[in-house]
Amino acid sequence: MTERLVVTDLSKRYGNFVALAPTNLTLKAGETVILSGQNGSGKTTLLSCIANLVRPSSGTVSVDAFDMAISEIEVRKRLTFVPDVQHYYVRMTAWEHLRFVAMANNVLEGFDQRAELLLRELGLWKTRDHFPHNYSRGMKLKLSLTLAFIRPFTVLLLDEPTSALDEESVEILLGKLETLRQKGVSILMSSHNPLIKQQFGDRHFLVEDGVLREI
Amino acid sequence: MRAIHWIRSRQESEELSYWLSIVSYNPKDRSFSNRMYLFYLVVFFSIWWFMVLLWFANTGANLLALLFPGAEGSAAVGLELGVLLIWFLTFMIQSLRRSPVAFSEEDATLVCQMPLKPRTLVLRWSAMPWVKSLIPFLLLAIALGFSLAEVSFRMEGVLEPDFFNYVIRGLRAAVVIIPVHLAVFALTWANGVWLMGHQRRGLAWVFPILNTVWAGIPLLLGILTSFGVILPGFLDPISRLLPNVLWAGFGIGNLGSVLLVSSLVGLLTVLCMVLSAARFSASRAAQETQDQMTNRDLRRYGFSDQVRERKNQKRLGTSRRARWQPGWTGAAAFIWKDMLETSRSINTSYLYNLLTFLGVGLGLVFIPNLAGRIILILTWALQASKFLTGRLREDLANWVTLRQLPLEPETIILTDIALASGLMVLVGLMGMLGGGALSGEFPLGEILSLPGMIASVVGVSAWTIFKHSKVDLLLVGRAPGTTEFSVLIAALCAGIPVVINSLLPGLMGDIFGLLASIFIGRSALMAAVKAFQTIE
Repeated sequence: MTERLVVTDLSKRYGNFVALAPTNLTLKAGETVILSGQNGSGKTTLLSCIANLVRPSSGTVSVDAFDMAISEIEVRKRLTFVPDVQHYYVRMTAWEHLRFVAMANNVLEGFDQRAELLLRELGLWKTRDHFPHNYSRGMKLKLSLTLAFIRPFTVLLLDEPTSALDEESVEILLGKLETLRQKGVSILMSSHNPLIKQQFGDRHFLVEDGVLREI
Repeated sequence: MRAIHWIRSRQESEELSYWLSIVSYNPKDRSFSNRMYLFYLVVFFSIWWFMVLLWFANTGANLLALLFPGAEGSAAVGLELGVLLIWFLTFMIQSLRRSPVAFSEEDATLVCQMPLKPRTLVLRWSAMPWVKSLIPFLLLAIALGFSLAEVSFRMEGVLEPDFFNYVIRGLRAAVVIIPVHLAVFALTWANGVWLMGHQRRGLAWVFPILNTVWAGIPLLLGILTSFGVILPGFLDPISRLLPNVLWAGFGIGNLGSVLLVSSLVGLLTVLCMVLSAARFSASRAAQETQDQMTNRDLRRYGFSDQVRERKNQKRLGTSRRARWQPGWTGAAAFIWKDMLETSRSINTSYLYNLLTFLGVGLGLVFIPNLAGRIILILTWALQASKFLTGRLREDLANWVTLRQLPLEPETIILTDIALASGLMVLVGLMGMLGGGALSGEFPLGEILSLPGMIASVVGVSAWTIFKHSKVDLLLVGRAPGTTEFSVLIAALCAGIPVVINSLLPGLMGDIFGLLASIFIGRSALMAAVKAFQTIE
């Protein structure tokens, strides 16, 4: 299987505090890796550094052989990150957020059908014209997922994707992730959900004080 | 009720502490030196306010004498009544829309859950808002009292009037306004609590409407009479009622009897307010006013961005349907987003900004001297830096979305500022061309330099924002703003082409100004792009 995501010596320091010790990780096509660990152990830092939302102190990230430091745009076209809490534009509705992301990613072809399907699947279709600030936490998370799924990607990073979802939505999400996995998408996900930890994922890692360890 | 009195007293003392903390006074420090500092503050601000009001009095006397020669007293009365009427109507509309009695989030969980007598609650809660709303009227009355004193001294030929004469005239004018203001305030609250208690339904509106009419008519007729409008004789008792009260404050009439009668009316209105509050619901009032109180607290602690966002959310409501969805792709998505957001943020302050930019364009044509132009550019840069970087800040606050787009930073920045900058160039050009058409002289140099000047301002402002941005804060939706220093630098950068145009007349000045504007604008934008790439 081809290597989709390669993380080499990735670390993050805040002054003397080591949020993430030098970390190596490789994800093959269609592989799912679950991260677990206590609050503040460094899971979100690892995911944010891989997505380059937070500048790492050292190390490299490459997706489909494209190095983040050299070909950031190519990596961006292939990698998508779903945070546990996302902020939205105050003056744009959920539908407009989706359209904006699709426009910027140059994937407008068949947008209306794809967006409708995604929104229906995640139960946001009826409220598509609502401003996200009126959404509940769970709905905001679902919108965050649709924003990630509306564009093509080969690597999916998810930070606590089930934290605010009801049981039915968790089932739908897991089904969706399984389909993506079968299509060759690599998934790196942090989760406290016991169901996910027991039944999902090809490999499991524990993050403790910024150190990643396979379990 | 004692507990309520205790809670309210604490709130009042906290309110006072807040204002005293602005002048670095700590009420909890009971040391001798701190008490001396309080004494110093009282003396200092008494003298300061006296001097400020005296200065206003001088200007006010000149203005009254110029606009109403020989009838300065009547004009002062008319002015005071006019301000009172405007305040009365504004405050009345507010009180009818939501409860005049405002409760904070803490009150909602503590005070509003207790089985308290609504009348006592309303009465106790009215004291602080009344005092706060009275202060501007006291200052206005004193300033007008001083102005009329100044007028009379001039007429009497008194060259050096003594201090006490001013103080007595000012205090007299202030004392008279207190019961009048109390009556108007209590009436407004009476209407508000009555209407709220009756769920703002049908016939409940009759009481406040009648009250507004019977209080508004003497105010309106008083203003008309004071400004010399001749009214039918039968209206005399009503039209002269309030002017006569205020005249007593300005030295004409029996102050004692006027004070006695007006205080009685004021107290009767307070009684009316208390009686109207029989069905007042504290928890409902809390629901209606919590937002207002939260916004006040946020503003006090410097979170004005959050207040703006909360207001925007409220203004936008629940949903909107996008009518225009173009097939643009790539960076053009930012243009669409910007147009969409701009169309939803047009309000008076947005239009005021555009009007200012138009005025600056005009000003650059009509203000020939360099010093005047520099002040104009400084004012312009202050407003433009906020106007131009609004979207950039919003995008930064949506860091997760922004950072994941497969677009180059310079493309994002340039498309993000394109609409606001384009609009500013357009409005500025309209101002300059309009000014040119009026004066017959087109400022070619300024017209050519304008895009570069705008690029300088936006570049410097964006650079400052990016330099102060911290990823940890951006991830929770907090983007920094521009600083005073950056505005100064922006004004300096934008001012250089204007200085060149002013110092080098003719084509040479135009060419050098244009080149300077291009060079500075481009450098500023490049620096901003670099700063964006290094956000940590």
